[in-house]
Formats: sequence, structure tokens, C-alpha cells
Amino acid sequence: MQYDEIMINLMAADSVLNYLQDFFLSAVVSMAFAVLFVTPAKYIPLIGLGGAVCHLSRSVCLAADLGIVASSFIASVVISIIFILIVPRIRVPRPVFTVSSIVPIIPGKFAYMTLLSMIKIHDNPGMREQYIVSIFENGLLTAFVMLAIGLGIAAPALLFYRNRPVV
Amino acid sequence: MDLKELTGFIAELALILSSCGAETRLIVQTSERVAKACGCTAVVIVSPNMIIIKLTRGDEEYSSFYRTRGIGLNLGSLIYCSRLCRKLEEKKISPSHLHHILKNFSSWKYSNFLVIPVIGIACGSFCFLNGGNAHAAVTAVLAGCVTIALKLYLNRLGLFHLFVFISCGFTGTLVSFVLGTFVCGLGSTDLAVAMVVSLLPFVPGFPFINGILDLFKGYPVMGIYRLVTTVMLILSVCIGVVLALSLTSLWY
Repeated sequence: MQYDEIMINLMAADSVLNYLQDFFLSAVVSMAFAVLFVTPAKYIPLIGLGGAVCHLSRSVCLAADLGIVASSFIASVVISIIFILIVPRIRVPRPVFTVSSIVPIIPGKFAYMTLLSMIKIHDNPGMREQYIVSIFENGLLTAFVMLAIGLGIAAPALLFYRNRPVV
Repeated sequence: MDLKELTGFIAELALILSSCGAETRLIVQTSERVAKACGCTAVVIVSPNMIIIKLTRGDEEYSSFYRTRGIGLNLGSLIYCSRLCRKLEEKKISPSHLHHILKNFSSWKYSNFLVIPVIGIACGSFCFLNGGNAHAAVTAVLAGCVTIALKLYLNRLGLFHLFVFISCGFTGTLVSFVLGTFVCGLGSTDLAVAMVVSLLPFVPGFPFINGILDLFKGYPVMGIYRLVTTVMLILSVCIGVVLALSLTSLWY
């Protein structure tokens, strides 16, 4: 995709509204997970912001036609680096923030499609090839996205904290 | 404090941290730093079933094994414990005071009446994020509330956690199917989205990220253990979903 085209995609009024909507929705999701993980209330707004930024950076990467695996990786690297910079000031273990923040980009739909194809393959033997393709396509995508998220969270910390304590 | 008492105290700290969902490196480093603050050198080994601690002070040596209490999750306690350890390092509290605090330690939680609606709203938001319409979001909110309420109830009964995940996977899918089909009249795509997002609270994010972090930071056994736990939890939810889908014969 050409650079101009990407910029048009990003700047369209409709998509700006969409980004804004997704920004707030993903903040809600992250904050709810923070409550589920029993995070103290004063850190919850920061986690919401982290989740929103994470989802926004993935949306921007997807709009720039980077593909979902690379986009998820970049989004989690962004979130990891942001919290590496913030955390030493508030002195809280970093996974407290990062894990809740990546929840909005978890690939639930692909995992579900994999599971559904696995069930249906026994029921409709006539369409076996189609389901096998779906299992591999969605299953590999789910696995790679999850791996990309995990590596994206773990890798930047290794660069910044080679011999320093975690907290 | 004598060496035996000190080992028990550091073990108590490591056990609390491991039951709160701390990554292995955090457990090892915190224990070693606390030992150093008490004038000892510590070797701490964390394995899936036990924590081994060896303390050395001058010519004295003491080592012991402690059984872990399983992997739980309570970030509030995790932050509280790591703060206390830093206070000990900065000499703001004494080792005996910290020991006393840890002995009487009890973790707090948010009220269930807060958690249930909050998770319901999160499921609704996630439904919009995944491209569902307003009806699908309503279905997801209700199904999410029911599922998380069931999870909290089953957890309170102290059931085996894989069974809890199977039951919740089953209930979440079934409730969202029934609500989506018979009450909200959803199309197949929106119904699928509602079913997926009602299981959002069962994504084992913490064991997964901790597993990857452990693998990267030189604790492969703990890393693999945590990743296997993640896979087992996901498979449990899958079994529940498959059971529910077979029941509803949702083949579209």
C-alpha cells in the first residue's frame, strides 16, 4: 500500500471516530481485568490508559497494512516500553500493568473459529478440506498472535533490565 | 533472629509471592534481597511444587524445603509484599516486624458485587471491539455476568480449578446462545461474537505472560510449567464450549 493511501486511511473522519470509540472501549476492558486481578484502585486508570494505547497502536498498525501478527507484536512492545519507563518511578512490578493492558488485543475470534472448525469436521465429512484449512489458518494465527504478544511484552524488558532488579 | 527462624520467614515471603502470581525472578530476587538486608546470603530455588532456601551467615548454614500453595492471583498482595521488602531494605522496618506482618497476612479482594457488573460491562465493550452490534453486546453483558458469578461461586466452594473452567466455558456459551437466539434474535456472526466475548474472563493471561517471562529470564522449568498450566486452562474452557455447542447443535 502506498504511503499516501495509508495516511488517507488513518486520517479519514470516520476512522478517527472509530479509533476514539475503540480507545474508550479497550480502556474499559483493561480496567475491568485490573479489577478481576485485584489491582489496587489507584493504578486502575493507568492500566486503562495502557490498554487503550495498546489497542490504538494495533489499530494504527493494522490500518498501515502490517498484518495482525506484526501489529500485535508492535502494540505489545509499545506497551512494554511505556511501562518500563513509568514503573521505576512508582515502584510496582511491571506485569501488574502489562498483562491487563494487553487483554483488548487477545485474538478470541480466531481461537473460537479454530475450535468451531475442529468440532464441525466430524459432523460434515464432505467439507473436510475446508475445515482443515480453517483449523490451520485460524489455529496458527491464534498461536502466532499469542506468541507475538508474549514476546512483545518480554523482549524489551531484557534490553532495559539486563542486570537490574525487577522492581 | 536465628538462622532457622530467618529461613522460615523468607520462605513465608516467597510462598506468599508465588501464590500471588509473581514471576519466578521476582520471587528469587526479593527473597535474596531480604536475606541480604538481614545480613545473610541466600540461595533460593523455585520449582513447581516447592521452594528450596539455603541461608548462610558466617560459618552457619541452614537449608530447608517448603511446599508451594499453587498458583493464585492477587496483584494487591503482590504490590504490598514487594513494598514491605523495599521498606526492610531501606531499614524503615525491622526483620521481626516484617515477620510479624507476614504471619498475620491476609489478602483482600474486591467485593463480588463490584466484580460481576464490571466484568459484564467489559464483555459488552469487548463485543463492540470485535465488531458485534448492540444486541450482541447486551447478550455478552448478561452472559459475562452469569459466567463470572458462577466462577466466583465455584471458587468459593473450593472446587478443582480445571473443573471450574469447564463449567464456566459450558455455561457462558450456553447462556449466550440461549439469550442471543431466543431473546435478542442475533444473526450467526453476532451470535459467535457474543459467545466468544462471554468467555473473556477465562483467558489465562497471567500464567501465559509469566511463563514467557520465566522462559526468557532463565527459569525454563517454571516457564514450561506455567505454559502447560495455560494450555490446560484453555483446553478446559474448550471442553466446556464443545459440550455446549454439541448441546445446542449450532452448526452454521
